[in-house]
Amino acid sequence: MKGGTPMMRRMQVVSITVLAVAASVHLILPGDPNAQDLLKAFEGPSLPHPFGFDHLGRDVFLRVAHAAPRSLGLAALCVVFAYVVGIALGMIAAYRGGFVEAALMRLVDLLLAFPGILLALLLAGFLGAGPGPILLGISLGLMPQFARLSRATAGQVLAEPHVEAAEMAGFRTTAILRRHVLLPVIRSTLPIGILSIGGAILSVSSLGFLGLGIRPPTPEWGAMISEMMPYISEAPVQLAAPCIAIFLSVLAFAHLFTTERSTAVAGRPS
Amino acid sequence: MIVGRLAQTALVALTLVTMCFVFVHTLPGDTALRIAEARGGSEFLNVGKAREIAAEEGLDRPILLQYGEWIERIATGDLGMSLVTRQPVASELWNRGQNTLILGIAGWLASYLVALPIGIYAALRPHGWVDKISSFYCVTMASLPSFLMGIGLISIFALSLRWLPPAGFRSWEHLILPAATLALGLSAFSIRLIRDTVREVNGAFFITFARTKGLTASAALRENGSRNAAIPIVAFAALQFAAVVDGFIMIETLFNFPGLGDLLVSSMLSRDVPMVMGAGLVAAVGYGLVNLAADLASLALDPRLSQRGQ
Amino acid sequence: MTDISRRTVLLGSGTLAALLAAPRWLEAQENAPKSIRAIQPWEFKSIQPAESGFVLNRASIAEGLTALQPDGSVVPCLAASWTASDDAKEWRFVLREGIVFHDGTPVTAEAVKASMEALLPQARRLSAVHIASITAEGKEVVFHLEKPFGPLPAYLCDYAISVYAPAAFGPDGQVAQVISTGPFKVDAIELPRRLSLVRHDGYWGEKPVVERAEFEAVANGETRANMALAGDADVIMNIPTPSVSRIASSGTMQVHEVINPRVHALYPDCGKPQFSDVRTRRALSLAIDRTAIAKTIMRNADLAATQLFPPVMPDWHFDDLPRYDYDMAAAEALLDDAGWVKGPDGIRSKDGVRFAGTIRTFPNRPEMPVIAAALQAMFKTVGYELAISIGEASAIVEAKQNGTLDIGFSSRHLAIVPDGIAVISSEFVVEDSRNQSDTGATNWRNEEFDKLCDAYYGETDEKVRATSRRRLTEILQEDLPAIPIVWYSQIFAVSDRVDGFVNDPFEQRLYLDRLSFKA
Repeated sequence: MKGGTPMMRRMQVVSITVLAVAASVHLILPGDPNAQDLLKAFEGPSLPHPFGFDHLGRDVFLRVAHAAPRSLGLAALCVVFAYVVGIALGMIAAYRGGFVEAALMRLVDLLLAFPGILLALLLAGFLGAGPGPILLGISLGLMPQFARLSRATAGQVLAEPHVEAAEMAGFRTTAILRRHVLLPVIRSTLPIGILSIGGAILSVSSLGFLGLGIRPPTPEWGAMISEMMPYISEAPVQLAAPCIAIFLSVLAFAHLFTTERSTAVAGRPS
Repeated sequence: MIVGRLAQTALVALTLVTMCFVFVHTLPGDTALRIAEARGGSEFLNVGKAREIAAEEGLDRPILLQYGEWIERIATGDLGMSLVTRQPVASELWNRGQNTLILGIAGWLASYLVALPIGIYAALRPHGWVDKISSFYCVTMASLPSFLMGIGLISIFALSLRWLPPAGFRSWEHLILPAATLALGLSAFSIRLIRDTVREVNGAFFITFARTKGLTASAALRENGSRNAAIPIVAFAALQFAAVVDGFIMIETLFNFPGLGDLLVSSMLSRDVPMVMGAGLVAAVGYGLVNLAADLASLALDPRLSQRGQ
Repeated sequence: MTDISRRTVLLGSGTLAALLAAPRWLEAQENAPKSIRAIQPWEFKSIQPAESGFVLNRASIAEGLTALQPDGSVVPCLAASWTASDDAKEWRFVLREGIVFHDGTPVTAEAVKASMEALLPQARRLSAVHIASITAEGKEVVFHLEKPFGPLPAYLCDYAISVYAPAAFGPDGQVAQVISTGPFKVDAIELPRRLSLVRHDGYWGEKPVVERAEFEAVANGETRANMALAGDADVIMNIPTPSVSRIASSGTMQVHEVINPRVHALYPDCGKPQFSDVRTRRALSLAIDRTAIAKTIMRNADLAATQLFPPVMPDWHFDDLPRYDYDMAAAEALLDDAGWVKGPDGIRSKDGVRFAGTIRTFPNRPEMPVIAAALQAMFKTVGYELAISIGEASAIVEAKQNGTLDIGFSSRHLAIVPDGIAVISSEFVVEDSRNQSDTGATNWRNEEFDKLCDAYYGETDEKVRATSRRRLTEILQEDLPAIPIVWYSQIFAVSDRVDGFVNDPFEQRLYLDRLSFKA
């Protein structure tokens, strides 16, 4: 986050503004996003209803706005969950070494081999469609990269003389990890963490598109897209609105941490 | 080393398959009824018929016994019969796996055919117009879900221009759109990585040295830098190929493509236990083999790695 | 080390190349002559007639003794004619002369008898008939029944008992190979999606115009619509309604629409306190704006259901039955009457029971979840809180079994057997020996209805039968064990390249044999 060109700083300001507006605009909008009036179905954009009405006569602008905090929040929650569990596992693995390290890292490999969408699909069958399976499925998919990165950093830090000294002085494990290891680990992994929120938004919307997202009629961007897909020629604005919402919010997260050395994340679960 | 890795792959595969088994069996809902629906359709569903199926296929026996039998059979190389079609699982997996592999390789190759020249060119002329356009492209593509790219491609090339078929897999033309969807998503990440890696290698001491000898920038890179730049790129490419597995589920659904991802989803819905387990096994083994191939390729490119205590 | 790994890499690429060798069917495709391509939504998971017979009949491969015409009449097919004894317990079907199976063997009475006997145990709808024995007497196949059964010829149209050759059956009595008598025979089957057909040159009737046809299952409606837009097939079945206008204006394919003998209806659990009182069922029915649903979701105002049976089944559809009204005020009044009181959140309750429940439906027919969402809002205004659960159709049956069902929302084909009695007895008569399905009404019982159904089967006097039909539909209309929402229209997209498309509202056959390429 430090430094960067003025251009990049401007981009960051724009990004933060976009996200803040997206997350809060529903608070000042009157009206129920689920209220329907079949007679208004497919009505085009107008000033009070800038994105028009969907196939059930619901206000698309309201729905996009109300979906924002949920989609963004769920994506962020996925990453937070994956992040906390990931770095905890990584640090424990690095600290314990030997069998514990090998076992934990094999577990992480295993999760990496398990397609995240498939996991969410299974969980959705198990728990029913809803935020729970999405959260678990996506965060289990994200967790391995955090575990691997934090283990590498923690391994380096633990080998440093002052940490070894602390160990010999008989400090408790948690105290050592908290005081000496946690901060460097967070410093090295946080940017990737924030970047992956963008990926998580894509995953959440993909699951919504496949019909595994939040229960209808609660608005969700991916589900809105799949609902409006058949009406592409009659209601292009209504279809485009959630698409643009996804695009802009992922873009915003991508620009939040753009640095000169861009960090590419291999593939993404979508 | 290869033997060890193969053993590890086998272990991962076994764990994955066990997870599939546990999942499918703990899913709520009556397995036999689901299979009855998959066999005969949703109308005129009959509980008596479901009980018959359960008895015939031994679905009401203890779960552990069923699991044990499956493991025993798999040890002899027999994947069993599908509960729904009553055809051998192995032949279905072979057909679908072939299709998925063709699609995966086509998409993956296409992405690197585009990404390599663009990435290298962008690295050699940083802040040039190719660099600027390509980084704009990368950010845009990385911010679009793959289903939107797929929908966009279908709308343009199949529905508006009518150049290509929108769905299915009956000829090579059917491969173009799904492979392009895959390639667009992959190249967004690989172009950046290639650009960054090549720039880093380009700035390294030995290239500067080569250039003082009078070689042009590109010649210096070709002669000395290509190997060094290739190592992380190959590792990343393999990683991406593995990550493609996730993408298959979405892309095959979107394009009605008869591949493994599609098979996995539909057999999961119909609770076709042997098919789910077979597909899980293939996915895990495939993933392991791709990673192994990547490591071998890195070794071949960089002999130093093999001396480093492996 | 380097060398070994290089060799390994080479070896690996060799294996890859082998894997990538074109799948066989891809090559076959390119050499085949021009064939008709038909797309329909249902995958075929086996070749057993009881399970996938609808596909084998629809593709004009298999045929039965009798056949259902697009106009709803039951006509001779493999049987040239039939007679029944006065008590309707002995039926004689005279076989057509000179018919051969796809393998060239003649269709004899013995072969038909053997085929019937092999397939009957799996043919659940036929269990209503109570067949004592079947005999082959010269050119005649004779059915001896335990009870009189008037609608037998209609029941013999069932795809589950089409006639298959002796060589079709494996040693276990199951169909091992599809050998029947239809105008097309099977060239290749690739379960669960592809079926290649080739003309049966020994066909007894009019032979197919084209030599080959492809029959493919594409489950996703959106994909079928895209294929229609791209002109990727000759006949495409079940076009999703939203895409109709787009396809019609694109000009690659013509759209044909016809109302089917099908209804989308709610099946409330009449045993639940919320629905045990008929007034609550009527109130919910009054709260449904069927015309708006038909117009905006089904895109055809004519599909708003006025009763269970659509006009395409004239024997069972009565224009003068009282229609379902849309009247919110009347609905509220009925509920107030029945003692359901609105709470502060607008949801009613009675004796501590909340007027709420879950509707279970499935996405195979894409309009169903959308209709469920529309109902959610309509029911809320009268004080019923509806949650939506979308899963597999079997979840409805399961919930019914374990008592957790509130409302099932399913789609019902009313004429798989062309006589409507088959579906209403199996849907609405509880604990009947003829009840072959567990998808029908829940905890609803009406003695008059049960008796009428039972008598109908044995009745041969058409006047009495007509009166029974009238009374049966009246009971359904008044008592609402199922609440019909909309009927359904089959929408085909037919390519401009072909001539001779036949639109069969009963979805029995696609009549691929009548199609030809325009010159």
